[in-house]
Amino acid sequence: MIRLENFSLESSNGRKLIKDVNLFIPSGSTVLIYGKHSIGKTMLARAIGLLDKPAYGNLYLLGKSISKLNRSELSSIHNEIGIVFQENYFINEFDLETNIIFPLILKNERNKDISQALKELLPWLSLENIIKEKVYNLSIAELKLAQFARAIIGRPRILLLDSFFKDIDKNIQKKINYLILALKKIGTTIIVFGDPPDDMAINFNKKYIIYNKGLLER
Amino acid sequence: MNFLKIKFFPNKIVDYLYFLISNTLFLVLLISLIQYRIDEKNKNENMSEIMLFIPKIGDDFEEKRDLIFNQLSANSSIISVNKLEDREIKKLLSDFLINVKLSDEVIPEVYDVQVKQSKQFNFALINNKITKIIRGALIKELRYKKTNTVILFFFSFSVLISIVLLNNFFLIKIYLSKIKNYINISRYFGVNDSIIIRNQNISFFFLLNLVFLTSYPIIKILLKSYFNLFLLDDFSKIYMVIYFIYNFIFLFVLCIQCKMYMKKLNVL
Repeated sequence: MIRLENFSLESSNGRKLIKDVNLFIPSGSTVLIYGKHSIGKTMLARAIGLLDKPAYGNLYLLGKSISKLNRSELSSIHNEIGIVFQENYFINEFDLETNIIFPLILKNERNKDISQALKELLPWLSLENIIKEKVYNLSIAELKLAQFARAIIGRPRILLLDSFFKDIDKNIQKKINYLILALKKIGTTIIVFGDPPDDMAINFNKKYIIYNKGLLER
Repeated sequence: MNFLKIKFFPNKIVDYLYFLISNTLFLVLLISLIQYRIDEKNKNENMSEIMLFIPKIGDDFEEKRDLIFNQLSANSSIISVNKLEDREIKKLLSDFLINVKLSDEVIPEVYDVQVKQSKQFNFALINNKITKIIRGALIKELRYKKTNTVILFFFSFSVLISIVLLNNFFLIKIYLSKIKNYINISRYFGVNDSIIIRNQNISFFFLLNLVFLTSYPIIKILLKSYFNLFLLDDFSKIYMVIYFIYNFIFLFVLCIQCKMYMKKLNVL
């Protein structure tokens, strides 16, 4: 469950992007939030992903008010969130495989489980042949897919996809849609920020447009 | 998948090597300095030595020398007598006799005499007896000039400690900025800060152990070969104390720096 209450966002130079938004997204739903360039989609994704603080208002994730949580409690909420960033965010010293799985290793997940999850996931995203490559040798689309793999390998309860589909090949988009459906079935809330997939294969429960500093339902 | 690298050594190997080399160097300097100071202190506490000089004169020199030793053995204050090697004597004399070549025949036999500290030693009486046996034989207490290196030691020690602390402070600072992405991504995917701090502590604890293991033989060789100092009996105790203090301070500073750096990384 995600709830925004009188939620406002400001850019680093103090420009108001989103003002007094109230929104409720139930568990297991798929939501699209779109709008023009630089209107605040990425900032909203980062705020819901607990990377940035809102200017005003409250954010509730999985029934907890974020402003009242300490660092350790925030970590446990982070644990339930998978995020695909707009920019490709990786560690250059590691190969692609390590980049996908290292948060799980640090969380002391069993090696056997990690290997099994990786084995099942990689063919869906056509990443199995480049898994040992260094990240700086890969294309933008491959890195986006790797980000997606990293975001879902821990089976998150909230999945945030920021500007994800625009670089992805149509055939792989279809496979991703299947993966998203599977995640929905286990109760994952999925929010897509930016452009939707080309053939609109995902059945969004709700679509919102960021317009005039507010969220309008379409 | 290299789990150890992912968990404990996420940065480039060259950064860990720099840490190892710089800390080994500092540790060698630190221990050598402390060892040198303790050695000096011990010397200052034992500032006098009793020496026996027997000139090699006469055909019956060896018999007369034995007579001298018989005389000395009657004295209960004397514990033992150790002969100095000719080359040691030559070395001691070379400070006074510059550019003079000494023949072995003219060098007297010199003995280091160990006596009981508590008993008063009567030099006049013994000298009187032994000069009657060999003319020129002499037993004498040599007093050394005290060296006062305390201020120099504390100054060098303070400078060295400051350099070690500053070097490690900036080293950790640079290290943390290099693993910024690693820390950020770990946190974004739910890894607790305490796990990251614990893992970094384990990795640096391991590196510090390597530093102490490699430093030990280096210090031993260096002190023996270059400074002609022998390791003190309690050297291992001193080494262990420094090991614990060094580890504690470094890991404590590492923890604080990690926490402060993570606090700065994101607002939430």
